[in-house]
Amino acid sequence: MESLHNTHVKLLAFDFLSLTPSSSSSHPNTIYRKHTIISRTETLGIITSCDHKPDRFLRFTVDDGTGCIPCVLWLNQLTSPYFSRRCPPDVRRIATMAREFATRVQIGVCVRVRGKVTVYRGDLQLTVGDVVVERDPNAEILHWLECVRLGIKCYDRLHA
Amino acid sequence: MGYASSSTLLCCHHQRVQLCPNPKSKSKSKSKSKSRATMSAANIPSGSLVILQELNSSSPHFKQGASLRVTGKLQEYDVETAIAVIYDGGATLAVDTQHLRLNLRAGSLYQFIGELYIQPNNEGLLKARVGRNVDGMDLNLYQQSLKLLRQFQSDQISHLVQQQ
Repeated sequence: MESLHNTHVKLLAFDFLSLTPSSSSSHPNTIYRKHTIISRTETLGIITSCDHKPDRFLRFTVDDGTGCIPCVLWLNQLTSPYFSRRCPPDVRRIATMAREFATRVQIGVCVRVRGKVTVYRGDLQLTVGDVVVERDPNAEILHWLECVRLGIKCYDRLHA
Repeated sequence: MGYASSSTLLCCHHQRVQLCPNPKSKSKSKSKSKSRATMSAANIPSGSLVILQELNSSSPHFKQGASLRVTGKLQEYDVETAIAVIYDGGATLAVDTQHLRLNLRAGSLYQFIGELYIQPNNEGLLKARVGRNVDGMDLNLYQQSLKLLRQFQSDQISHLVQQQ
């Protein structure tokens, strides 16, 4: 089976929301698009909601016109045991970047978000790796066309 | 950039929405064209992409409470009622912008996401919850790309249905 593992797969929200988490207990974190394994995606759209818990997380939704993708940006790097074994300067750098990304998340802003596809309480979400504000009003159109082209010419062909 | 002025509101989908101006981003007032708020409800419906010419009484999108994303040039704006009228290709739509804080300029291009309210006279009014200035957007390219997007979405969904 071919894989797009570690590739930021450009997906429209309707496509993202139809991804299938593995039902196998041996591969609990595996996500499939049709029969292709993916782990990371890239989306672009308008932020339509956000819920900020300082020093914990920032939840927001990205609406690309085909659906809303729930995103979570973790902000707990300085307190989470998950990061306790990592080099402190690296953790501080990651925390600083996450805070910088958080300042970009505002309702009405068009953003490009990349991250890992995860499942929270049975629902798919995007665990944010980075956030870029798109100021060009044509960026969303280009993203649609790239998603369509890649979907037809690349992603759909992997399991054909 | 603007944000809604009231502290709490109920949008037409009955979602409790908290509007909390963020002092940090308030200082970045140079980005004037986006509405901003902090919502507690994450379950916000997606605004379906609609071209104004398609939005007539026979359109499947012309339903009470339908969540839509519309794009058009600002024709007029009433400061008292906060109702903006946008137009594109001969069609117009009234947009209620009372929950947004936008610097609206006649002739500029705007995009709004919100819920459609059909008035007793059968005219549509979009109650906007998000708005932004999109001056520079190629509307012809937008409409052509939207056709491709819809075709792709339709093909993908029928493929998924066939698989099930």
